[in-house]
Amino acid sequence: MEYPPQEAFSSAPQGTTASFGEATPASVTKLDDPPKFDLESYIANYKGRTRFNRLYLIGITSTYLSVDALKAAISEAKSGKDVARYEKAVRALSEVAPGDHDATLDSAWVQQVQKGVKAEGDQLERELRGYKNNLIKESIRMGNEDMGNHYYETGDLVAASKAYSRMRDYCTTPNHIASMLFKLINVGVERGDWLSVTSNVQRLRNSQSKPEDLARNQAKISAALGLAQMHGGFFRDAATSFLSVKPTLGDTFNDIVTPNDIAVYGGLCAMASMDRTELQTKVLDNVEFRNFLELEPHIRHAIKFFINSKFRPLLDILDNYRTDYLLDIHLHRHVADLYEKIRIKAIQQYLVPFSVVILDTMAAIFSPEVVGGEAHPASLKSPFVKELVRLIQEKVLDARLDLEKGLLIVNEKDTRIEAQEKILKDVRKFNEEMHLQILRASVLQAGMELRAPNQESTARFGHVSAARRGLGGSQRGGPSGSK
Amino acid sequence: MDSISALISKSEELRISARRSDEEYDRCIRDHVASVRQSLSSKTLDLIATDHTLLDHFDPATDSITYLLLLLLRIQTLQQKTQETLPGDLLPSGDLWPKCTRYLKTFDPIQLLKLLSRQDFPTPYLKVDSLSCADSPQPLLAVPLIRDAMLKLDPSGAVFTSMHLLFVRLCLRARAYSYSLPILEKHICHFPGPAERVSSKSSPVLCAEHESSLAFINASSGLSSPLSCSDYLQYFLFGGMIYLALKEWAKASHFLEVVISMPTNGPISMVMVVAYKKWLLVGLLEAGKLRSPPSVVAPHVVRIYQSLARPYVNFAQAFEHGDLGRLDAEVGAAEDIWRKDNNMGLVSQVMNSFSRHALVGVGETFAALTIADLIGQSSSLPCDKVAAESVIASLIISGALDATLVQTPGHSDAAMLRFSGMPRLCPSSHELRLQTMFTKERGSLEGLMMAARENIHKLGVSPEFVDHVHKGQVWAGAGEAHLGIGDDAGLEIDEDIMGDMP
Amino acid sequence: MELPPFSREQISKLIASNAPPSQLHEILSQYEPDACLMSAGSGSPETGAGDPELLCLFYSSFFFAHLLTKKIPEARALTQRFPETLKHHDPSLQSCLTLLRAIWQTEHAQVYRVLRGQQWSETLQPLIKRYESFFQDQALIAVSNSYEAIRPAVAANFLGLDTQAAEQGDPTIIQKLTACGWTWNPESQLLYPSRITVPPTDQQPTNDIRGALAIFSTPSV
Repeated sequence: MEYPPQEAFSSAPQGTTASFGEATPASVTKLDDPPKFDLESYIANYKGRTRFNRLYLIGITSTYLSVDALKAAISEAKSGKDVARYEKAVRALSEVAPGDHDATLDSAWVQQVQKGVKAEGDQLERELRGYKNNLIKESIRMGNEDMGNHYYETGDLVAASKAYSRMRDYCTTPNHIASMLFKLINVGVERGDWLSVTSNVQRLRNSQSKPEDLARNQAKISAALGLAQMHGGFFRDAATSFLSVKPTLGDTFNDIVTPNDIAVYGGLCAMASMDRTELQTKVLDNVEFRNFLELEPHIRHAIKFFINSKFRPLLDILDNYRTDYLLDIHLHRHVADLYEKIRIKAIQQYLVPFSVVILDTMAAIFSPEVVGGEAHPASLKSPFVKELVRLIQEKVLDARLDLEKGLLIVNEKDTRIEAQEKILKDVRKFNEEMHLQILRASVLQAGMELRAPNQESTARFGHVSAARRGLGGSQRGGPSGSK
Repeated sequence: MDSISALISKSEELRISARRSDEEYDRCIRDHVASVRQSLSSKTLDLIATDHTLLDHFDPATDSITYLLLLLLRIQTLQQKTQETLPGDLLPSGDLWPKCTRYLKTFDPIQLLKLLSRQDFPTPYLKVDSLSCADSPQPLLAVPLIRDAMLKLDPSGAVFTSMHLLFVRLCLRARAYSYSLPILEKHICHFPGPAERVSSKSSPVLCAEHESSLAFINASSGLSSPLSCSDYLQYFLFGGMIYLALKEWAKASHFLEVVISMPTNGPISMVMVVAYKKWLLVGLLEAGKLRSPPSVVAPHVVRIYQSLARPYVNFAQAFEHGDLGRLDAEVGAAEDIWRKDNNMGLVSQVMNSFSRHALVGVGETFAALTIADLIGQSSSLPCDKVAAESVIASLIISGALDATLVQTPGHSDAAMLRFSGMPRLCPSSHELRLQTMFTKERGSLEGLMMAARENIHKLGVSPEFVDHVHKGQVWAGAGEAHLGIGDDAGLEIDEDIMGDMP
Repeated sequence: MELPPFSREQISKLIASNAPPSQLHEILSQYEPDACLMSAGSGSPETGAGDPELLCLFYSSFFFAHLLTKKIPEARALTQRFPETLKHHDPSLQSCLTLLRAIWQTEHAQVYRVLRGQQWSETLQPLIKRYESFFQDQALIAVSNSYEAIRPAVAANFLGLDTQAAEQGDPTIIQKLTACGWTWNPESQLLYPSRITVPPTDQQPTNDIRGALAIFSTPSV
């Protein structure tokens, strides 16, 4: 098991109260295209705090759904106890629909909830103190859990994760530990603290749970790990994790991800990181993962197209769903990266059987918008040619452009001559290095190496020592000393 | 006159004895030297000093020893008389000049070596050459003479002598670069070793065919005055500079690498820094990038180089980046430094090679493109299409760029540049060319192997070396310690240099 | 090898001879000490005091021997060894400098202009002619391998032919080039050179005259 290094999570807001997915309206790119999903049925798949976070992201990103999504977010917030996010949603709505009824803050509700929250918090703390005085482990554990739940529901994620962590010393059964760790994972996911998610996943794996419990949790564990790896940019690891999620996941984890999400995340990560054979054997032939893929048939189609080198339909599918993915709370940051990787792999794959490709034909597949456009597809002004130039310069493609005939020529060298040239180069290098080594040995043998003046002894064989003879000697007072 | 005829008959005896065994010949030479010295009493001295024809009685080719002894005596008397180290008679216009050149051109190396192997004999070979040539106003005159004499004495050229340094310096002064190649192209592998071994073991058979020149060139023979590491460093620096003048970048690079990889226990010398700067520039010319120094150079030494050659490193980085604007700025900013270091010429060569390297890069991306497109791709070309085409044409014609130009009908200037991607020669002649080069490399490999074997042999017989290797390891350790908290050995030396580092 | 003494007759004979370039270079290089000695002023007893004409003849022919053996960097070094007093006055030596610069900068037109100029001494003419045809051959090989299609005027410029006539499609020029294996397309008004492969020559400097002879005994084009 490989763990992404900490740097990969640098975006995680360590120690701050800012929660993951808390995009500010200014920081997102607005999307005008309507997504393919129906908002209501989409959000019905989820439960818990992720519902608000997802609605809010859609609300501030999609111009098409913004009012609906934000209104839903407001009502979602109002059904809970987190005042801050209610205010946030109202603020966002007031920007897109100032006249809307929901766009004004319901301060009576706010005050009432705040009062209630305070009272409840005090009550829980009192109770916890009582348990601590009584020294009953189970009560203390539950008291801490209640505190954690309270903080979690009211949006104080840092306090929540601290409270949950305090349960640790009072856990008496492996089940307690597992439940505590899942709580921590949930908070970690919402905070975007992927390092903590990864380490808690690791703890879960090492916990002493009974095999059947572990098996039950396995699906969730893999899903959480996959998520963390995807956020770290380790798409191949993420693909492997998502592919190992058991269909038993069902809706057990839908406060974070649904089986549909597993299909999409897993499929995209796999396409971005695996070759055709792996896609066939590890993804399409994976009986358990097939259950997930059936939920998102277009992902299965896309993978099939990739395997069969039908790149235009593949890219069409990706283009069609781009908006959907940009509205997904976990995917939206990685869509560009994943799509770019899939596209590059497709271009590389496309070139495999050819030694020469006509740029027009290639552009029709990879850049159809260029073909009808003003710039000729084989001109340096064409964005597709610019993309190829970049890929060649980055050594992603081993090919060269012939702009005279509008061709992309896959580099094929005369291997015989190339090998001979390389050997000659190596022999030369070897000879030179050998000469250097022989000289060094001879210098040492003759006692002629450079010495610091204080170690200077009369050189062997009566030679005059170097340092005394000016030019070759120690260069104190040379340019180094004079500065 | 009696003494002259006596000398002649002695020389003849010697000539006859050469046909006998080595040991006997050796003994005869010893006797001869002694008797010549004896016969050249103070009375005949005057005679020799004044008699210009005396030397004409002998043939330098057959009576090398006698001739040399008389010649030296002559020089000595002249020096005493004129109180000058370089009397006028010894200058190219002087009386003795033709005699010296005649001697150097024709002497018999075996006789001379025999004589030189006698430890009590002062360095005559050096005297003749360096006195008459090195400081003369026409250094060129001495270049071929010394070169041929050196090759005659040591055809393998594998042993470094003080003559080597004198010779390359002379070539640089005379601006006679190609003349030096027969010497420079021999791989130097050894330094004159301790004399004891030679005198005890090899001396008796000195006149015979030698397996290795090490056998007769040693610290006490007159073939080389005592050497220091400075001599060695300077020789390779100067040799590198000669190759630079001849635009033999790869060879220059190797010579400079020898200098920058000089073993050191802490300090580095100015010569090494000078070499590093030049080496860095050659790297740009040859490879278009800042190369890493040979692996034998210790990392802390590399850091010292880099901190002392900061403008050069900046320049190289700008070059590598392919950013013409930054490059121009770096060149301009450090102009005084290039001039002060006498590297202006090299720097401008590097600048000239910039468009070549940029175009080679373009050839890795494109198989063919118009000149107009190319101007957009490479900032180093003139914006005018006709001018750019002529720049490219001269790069291709001079062989610096492997590509072809395709002109279009009429006066339209949409010429196309095509990178062939294939060697321009036909495969068979290409292979033939490679074959020649392989043969050459094999030759030098064989030579190096022999040298390596000799080194191993030396390691076996010399206890000092074991000593040295041991010490070397200790020093290597101390060198590293400098980077840490320090070690008293040699720390103070580095402080100045290390203090400069950013 | 004992050479005949350094004299005007001897150098003129060498210039007029058809010795292979490497041999020419080798022999002339053996005279350089004599020339050097002479330029120092006093000269050796045999040759008498400095003979500027001989010196100029020697240095310019030695210069051309470098060019003919493609030793361009060393040729530059040689120009720096030209005797100071003559360098600035002798038209031949002056032209050597101009020629070198033109070669250095691959200015073909300028190279032909200098070579065809009037400033060379009559004795030197055989070498000039020799180098001109050598340079032309080299240019022909280079252009053949550097251009796939070329306008006649551009080719003429490289080869030292009349560019204006070439531009107007002068049949004699076109014919000269098609004789080298090039093809002429009258419609596009373009010449299509065919590649010329040169047998590999050992470019290493060699002192062995016989070896050098063997290499150069076959004409390079």
